[in-house]
Amino acid sequence: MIYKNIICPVCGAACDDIQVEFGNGKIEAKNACKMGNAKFQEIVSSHRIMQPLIEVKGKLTSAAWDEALEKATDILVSAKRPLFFMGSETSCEAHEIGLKIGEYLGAIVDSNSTVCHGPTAMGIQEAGKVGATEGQKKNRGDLIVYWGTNPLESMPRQMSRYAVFPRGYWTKRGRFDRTIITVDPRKTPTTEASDLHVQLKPDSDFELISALLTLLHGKTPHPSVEEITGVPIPVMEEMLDMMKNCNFGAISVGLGLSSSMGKYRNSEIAMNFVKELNNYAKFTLGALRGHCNVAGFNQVELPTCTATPSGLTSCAGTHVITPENSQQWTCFEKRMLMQLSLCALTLYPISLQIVRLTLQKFQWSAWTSLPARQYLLRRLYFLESLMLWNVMGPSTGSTMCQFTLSLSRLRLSILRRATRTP
Amino acid sequence: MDFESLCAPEKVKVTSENGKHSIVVYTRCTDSVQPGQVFMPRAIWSNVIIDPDTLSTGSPLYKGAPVTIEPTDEEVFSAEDVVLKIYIGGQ
Repeated sequence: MIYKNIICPVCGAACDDIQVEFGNGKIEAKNACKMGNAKFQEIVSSHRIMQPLIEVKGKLTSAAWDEALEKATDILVSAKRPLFFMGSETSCEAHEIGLKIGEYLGAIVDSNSTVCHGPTAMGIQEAGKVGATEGQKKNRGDLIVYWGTNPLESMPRQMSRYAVFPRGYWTKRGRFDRTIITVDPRKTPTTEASDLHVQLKPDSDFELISALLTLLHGKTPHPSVEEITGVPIPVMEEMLDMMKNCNFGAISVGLGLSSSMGKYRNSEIAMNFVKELNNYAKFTLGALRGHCNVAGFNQVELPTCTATPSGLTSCAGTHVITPENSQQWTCFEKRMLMQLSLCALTLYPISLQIVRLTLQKFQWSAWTSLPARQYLLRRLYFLESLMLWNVMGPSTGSTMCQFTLSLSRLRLSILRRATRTP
Repeated sequence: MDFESLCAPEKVKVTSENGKHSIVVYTRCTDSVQPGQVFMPRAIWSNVIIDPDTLSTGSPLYKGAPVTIEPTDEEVFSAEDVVLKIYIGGQ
């Protein structure tokens, strides 16, 4: 049987136009990139774990769910300082339950999203963010800057779906109406497809952005910046000219920025640079997020539940609170979030279908930014599989749904135990 | 140039700045990085030698760590072996 408009579970691009043919133990995905195709094959792969396993005498043996949950509860409630490391390949609902379990047990809760764009999310909270939806980039963007990222290999369909090649309302000639700048210490397929490649030395992002800011203020940076960054000042001036003279510029930052020396200060100064660029042209900045639902953990659940973007410790019974950045979502996205939450309350399959059709009718992928899109699609996917679970029984629910529900059962089991006061 | 000065080895041993951790990997010679630099994709092999300093962000310094590189004939571990021999086996 062929299923259309399936959401790809791999990267932050969250492509929603995958066509999947599934049957006879085989699966074939169309429209997906190499990574997407490989991921869909996991569904029928032999190493997929379908039931809980308990270690008996050094060997893993299959066990019943109740038995496994009891054992997990035993381990967790008797631990002195448990760590809840939440994966990003699950729903925001699971993240939320994990946070609550962590709070109850006095555990440390963290996720792989921290070693992903964790520092970028911290920088966003420091400096604020000028963001844009992917539709704005597609329809208006005439200057695209890739900073510390190689989307042609890490997010293969990003350039063709949203940023560089598609024809937009004011960019009717597609790639010919756009200028591409790539800032990367390496030569990559993306730099080859760019109009300007600024090859800086590793770990000099902060210095380069500082020098660009100095030039933007009409002053000449100290000549030593050429030696530190490896970029001649005339090249910086050329880059800045392109940025000042465009109509709509969009910077997409990758892990190159948040993994280098300076960490969150890099994205912070980048945000400040973008704010100042808005005196000349409309300019925005966004992160190209990797794994399945990393945005769900450190740009949705953690900021909304606890106001921090990364690892959280509840050992002392309190959280460290930083001001929540409410500007991460546009009005449209907030409305959609509300709508989806309403669906979660009512749980009517038909209302979900209406939301999905409405989203498709209004070409919603053009109305949201990438992290929001990632979050919304995972949530929709979760609710749909929950529906399937309710109607057809546990064996048909997706792994994401099974994971979330088993985690909530684990939480109940821990609460029932009540051997430890929070 | 760097690659030739190492006698174009098929495998190299990469050692972290403090000399405590090392990993053997296959090489590929390209002109994508500037002289004096090497690139390792973020993976279980590079995790062995990255700088563990997180600058209070919870995310280690994945880029720009100084390393020592030498040609070697030692075995390149599979991902499973990296976990079993280096992390569990203890270095």
